[in-house]
Amino acid sequence: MSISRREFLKANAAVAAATAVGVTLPVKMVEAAESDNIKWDKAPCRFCGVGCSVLVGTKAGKVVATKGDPESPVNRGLNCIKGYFLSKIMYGKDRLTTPLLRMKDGKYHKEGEFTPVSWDVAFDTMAAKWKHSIATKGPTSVGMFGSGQWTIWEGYAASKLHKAGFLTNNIDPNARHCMASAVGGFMRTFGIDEPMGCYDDLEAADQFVLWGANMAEMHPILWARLSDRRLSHKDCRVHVLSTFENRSFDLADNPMVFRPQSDLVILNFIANYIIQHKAVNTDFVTKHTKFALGVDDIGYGLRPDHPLEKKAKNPGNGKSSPISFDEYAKFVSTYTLEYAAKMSGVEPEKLETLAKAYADPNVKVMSLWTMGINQHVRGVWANNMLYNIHLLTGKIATPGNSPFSLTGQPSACGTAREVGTFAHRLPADMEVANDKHRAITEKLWQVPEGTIPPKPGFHAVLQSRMLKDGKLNCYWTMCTNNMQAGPNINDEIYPGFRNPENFIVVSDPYPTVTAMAADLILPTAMWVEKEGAYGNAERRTHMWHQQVKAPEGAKSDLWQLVEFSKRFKVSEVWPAELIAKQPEYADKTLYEVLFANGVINKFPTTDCKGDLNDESAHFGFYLQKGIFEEYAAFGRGHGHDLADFDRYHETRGLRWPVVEGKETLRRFVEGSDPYVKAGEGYKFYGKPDGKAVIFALPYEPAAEEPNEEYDLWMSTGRVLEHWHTGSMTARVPELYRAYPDAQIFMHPEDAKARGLQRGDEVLVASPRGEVKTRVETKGRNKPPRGVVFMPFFDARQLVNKLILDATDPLSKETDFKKCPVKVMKA
Amino acid sequence: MSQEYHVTSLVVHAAPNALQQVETDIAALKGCDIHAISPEGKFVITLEGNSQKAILDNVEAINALSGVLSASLIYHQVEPLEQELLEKKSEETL
Amino acid sequence: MSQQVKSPFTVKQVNRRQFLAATAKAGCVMGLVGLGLTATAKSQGQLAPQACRPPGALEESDFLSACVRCGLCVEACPYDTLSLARWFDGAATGTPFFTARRIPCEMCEDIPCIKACPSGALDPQLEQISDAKMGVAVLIDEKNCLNFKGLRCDVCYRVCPLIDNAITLERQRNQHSDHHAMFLPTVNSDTCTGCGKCEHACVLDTAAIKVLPTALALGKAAAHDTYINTEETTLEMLNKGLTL
Repeated sequence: MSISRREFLKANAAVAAATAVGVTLPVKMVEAAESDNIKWDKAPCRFCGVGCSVLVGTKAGKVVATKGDPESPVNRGLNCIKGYFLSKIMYGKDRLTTPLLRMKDGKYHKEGEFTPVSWDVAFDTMAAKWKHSIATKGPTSVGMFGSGQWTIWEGYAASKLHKAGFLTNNIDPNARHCMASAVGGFMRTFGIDEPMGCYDDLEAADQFVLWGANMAEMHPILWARLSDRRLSHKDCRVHVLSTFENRSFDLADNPMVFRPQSDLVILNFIANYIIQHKAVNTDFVTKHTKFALGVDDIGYGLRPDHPLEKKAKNPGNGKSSPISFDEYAKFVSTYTLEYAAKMSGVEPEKLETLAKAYADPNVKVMSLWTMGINQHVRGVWANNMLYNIHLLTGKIATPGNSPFSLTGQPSACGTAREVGTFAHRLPADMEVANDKHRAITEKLWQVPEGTIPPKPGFHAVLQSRMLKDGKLNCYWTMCTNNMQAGPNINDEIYPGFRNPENFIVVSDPYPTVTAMAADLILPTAMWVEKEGAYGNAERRTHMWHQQVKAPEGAKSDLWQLVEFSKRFKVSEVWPAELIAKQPEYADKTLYEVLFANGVINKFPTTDCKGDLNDESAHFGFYLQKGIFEEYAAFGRGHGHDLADFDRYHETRGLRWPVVEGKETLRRFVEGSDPYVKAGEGYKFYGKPDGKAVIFALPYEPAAEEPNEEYDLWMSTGRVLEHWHTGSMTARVPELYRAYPDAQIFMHPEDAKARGLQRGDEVLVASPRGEVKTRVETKGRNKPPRGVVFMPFFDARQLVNKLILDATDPLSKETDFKKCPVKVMKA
Repeated sequence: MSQEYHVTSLVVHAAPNALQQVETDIAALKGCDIHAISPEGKFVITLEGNSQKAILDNVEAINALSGVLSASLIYHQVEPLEQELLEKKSEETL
Repeated sequence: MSQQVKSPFTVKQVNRRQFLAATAKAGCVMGLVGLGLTATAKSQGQLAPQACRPPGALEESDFLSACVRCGLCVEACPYDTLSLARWFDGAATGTPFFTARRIPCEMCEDIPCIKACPSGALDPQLEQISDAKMGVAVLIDEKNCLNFKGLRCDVCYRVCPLIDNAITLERQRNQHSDHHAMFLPTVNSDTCTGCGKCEHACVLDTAAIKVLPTALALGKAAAHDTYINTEETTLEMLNKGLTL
């Protein structure tokens, strides 16, 4: 035993005695005891889009403690209950540590038993399947489903491997289920993604409006900030809109429960009210906006042969034509208070109070929204319509005037959106369908012109359909659990996984429902077992160092992607015409072309200031920094500037664009955004003419509405205690005990009408399947009559079996909030 | 039998008029450190030793000192001297 | 066992077990045996503070004389909440009780335990489960409660079947962080049924919120105390014969 250990034990003993009698000891003694050999470092929380920073305590190769980071401007030392238990998420008893391949008689077999194999066997089997598929059916037969919980470099490596390596755009993140409508809204209105404002607006706004966002549970720390503003600012008021009464109603001054889908009517009513009451900020509107009429009757993103798609006049059409202000005013003029009240079921006085808040030029309004608006068959429209209101009044991009799209996942912004891991995107908001954008990307990636396919790949829901139809055959999912989180599991997801033509690989730390349905499971390192970077909802990029080693056998997604690329020679996956443009690549591996390309392998491992970095040690260069630098080149000078790599490790994150070392709090406004010149006031530079678009868009009904048989609207969603599908949080005993089983929340009268009482076992059914659960008529959520709510965290109650795979036809994001169901006694 | 390291802490309450004497006497004991003395005459003390007996002997010696009103054991820990067994503390948070 | 001999000074420490195994060994064993015997003797007459009676249970002495120890309520309980006390269980042997931290009462609307009771020890006049009084939840340890540290736990609040009524979150500014609110769970003893869902769900190793027998949990005002609704009580009301 070392002397220092002995000193430490002695200090412990002394501190214990001193505490007992309230005596103060010399500081040195206390420090010796407190250090307890725990080493502390920082990391963003693993869970939601708020992006709290935590201090991570490690000892003897394990994370033993976490606490809120007092230096973080987001959470100032606080955490929600998920963040409090972060140290336990990596140590579930069933952590995977070896690749598992379905085998029969010593060989891979689709119907075989999961059998432990080496990484070599796993990758050899995979590579053979991939090569065969690409050679026989072309590059569109392979694909990947990724994650807004990937680190920035993992998303970048995956996107590059597919778009420039396998020559397919069939890569999409689970952010498709979450933020795609928000992205669509931003691109359509502003031409550039992500919020102009930031969390500081919470301390500057007079009134808050929650649109389909239960922040009290889903963004707990931001909710504490919003509540503090309500407590400390005399005139602060909170409006909450939802289809059922949730925890956020506790703080609401103006609570509104509206009929599902009628939010579109309320939004247009507010625009109409602003115009009718002469509250339009004419100067702002004239200088900085223009008006457009959107194409309507756009369908529901279902399979083309679905009756609803056949009925639609313009399925999937996102086009628009310019109109004048007067034409817009006329368009919304039918959305009167009476009509809005009738359609929504909300009392007219409440709607008027809400509209007044937006219309009053002296009230600073922050609108906040998440899945109620995004998981919506008209999600992009709803996003556009929210911006309409803020643009008409000029309440945008100044402190407290802030239309703010909240994110669900820790790096939906950082990884899924900024990196461009969507099937239609490239880094820095560029798109595969744009010739110039592909050319820029190909140049930075040092691959020949024509490498990246111009056609967008299969988006999340389409991937499931294509797997089922046998057109997508080799499929790798990482850092996500689509068999539980995706829509219409029985009809559209599971069949594709078990289709004998397909080979399905799932990378995960734990045996999730998705993993169990795969053919090969790869054990994965998580969170601080690797170096990472996340980007939160307010454009804050935040990094962390690897702080512990993953369990022996588990590898990070980044390692898996880059190592897998070594198994492909360019000549095996690229067509001859393409190789002819850069013949020296023919005998190289994808690894050499994509990752050891002179840019990504430029930085020595010694540049890493963390104690551990398993990927860099393995590949022989500072892989994460190399990827970051190649990636940052896309955005620097183009409105997406990132700071120097090391600064992200030193700070608690910085909000992009970071120009000349300074982060940007609010974009598009002079004085705050370096891209807006003196004298311009505002400039929406995402659009070539610097003008944001106000869209005339109508109300259109949901894909399905309750009928005689399926007589209730069902919404699914999250709870505070669990993260998404519970693959991490349900393995923390305390969190499991806090919310062990999903329930269906129901109005007591609806229960009574069905002969049900609280706690009864019931079957919840839609035309697509049924789940067994228990009825809750009390508790945290209080739906109105005709509406039920069921969370999706419980792997034993796969509620998403019931959900129709109807999406917003523009964003391809599923509507998880409006599924007609029936509830019967089990 | 492998060697052990024992450490114990005590709060010793001494009569106000005997503080100095008690301090001197305790300081003279082997393996004994005084870390603090409160104004009311409470001593924060640690005892180190290689066995249970060594510690207990010292405790008895302290109890026997004139001027000592009471001595309460607060904390005790034993560790093997040869190899340092690392504690598994995965359960602990905060 | 470890609970009984824990040092009165709780200091979070690496390793206390050898201490128990060594110096205090002999003494502790004696002490435990002694304690055990006392506890057994006591349990025959007195309900342990952590043992809750089923909904509708009469006042303890009446309950003990009415209860025939038949176990039908235990059988009727669909959640295995209730059990029959055995020796050392902290309730008179053979009588039904539950420990909220282990399995709380799920507050069935039809109250099957009362329906099953043949003796009236569980009062059949209790028709609304939300009128039950199995005890009162008390947030007993504000020091360790995460919400009092400013964290967003509030699990006890969200599991409460009578949320916003039996437990509310009182908002307060967090002076430390300066821009977050604190949400302090606050029990309303008038409406709390003592079901114990909050104690069961508390994420701490030992619950910071506990269900206690009403007699133990609540204070009682002196007879002269007329400070009920002081702000609203008028002279006229008093003279009309307001019941205090």
